[in-house]
Amino acid sequence: MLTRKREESIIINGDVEVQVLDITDGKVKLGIKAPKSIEILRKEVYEEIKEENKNAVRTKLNMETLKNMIKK
Amino acid sequence: MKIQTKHFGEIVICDETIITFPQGLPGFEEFHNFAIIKNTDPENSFHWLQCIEDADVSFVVTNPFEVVQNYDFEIPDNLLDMLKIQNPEDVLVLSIVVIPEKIEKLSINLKAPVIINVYSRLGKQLVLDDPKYSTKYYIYDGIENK
Repeated sequence: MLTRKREESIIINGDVEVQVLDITDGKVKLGIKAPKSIEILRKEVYEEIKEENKNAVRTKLNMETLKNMIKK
Repeated sequence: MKIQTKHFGEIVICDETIITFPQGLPGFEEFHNFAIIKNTDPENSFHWLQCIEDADVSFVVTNPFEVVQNYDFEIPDNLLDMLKIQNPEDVLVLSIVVIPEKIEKLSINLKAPVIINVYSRLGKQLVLDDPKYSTKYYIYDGIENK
């Protein structure tokens, strides 16, 4: 854990920089500089996709049932 | 090579058809090699994205453009680079399907399409920023509303 004030930054792995741009109303505005190859997502979005993928493998699919459903 | 699948037991696939997902998929980051098992029924547009490393990791997938109107997004430059995409014809887009107990509630994930470069055999699940696409698009509701 690190504590940063407005305008202070951290550097991760030498190539990702996260800076606190503003702190207002309980919201922290972050500026991120990273190589284009690095994907940056809000955690809740990533978690949502992860959850949906996990639901998808639990599919108990019967191809026959699905085929009949589509033909309706 | 022979692979184990969740729904079809042991099958044989050509090594050249294997698709590599360098980052796996969200929730399945440690799984990198997949094969697409196509539905032999021409009327059935649901196929399988089967993980080679683990038979239980298997996703039903479909082409979202056949199921949804006006589904439109841009593939960002960094993903074009990562998948070595040079021609639009080499791009295959698949949506992961969730099939619950009640089959009428079948949904596809429009928010995170799986992008595959069929030429380089590389793939990644792209998370879209567009709020109009949801992780759960109910295809049967779409038909009823028409």
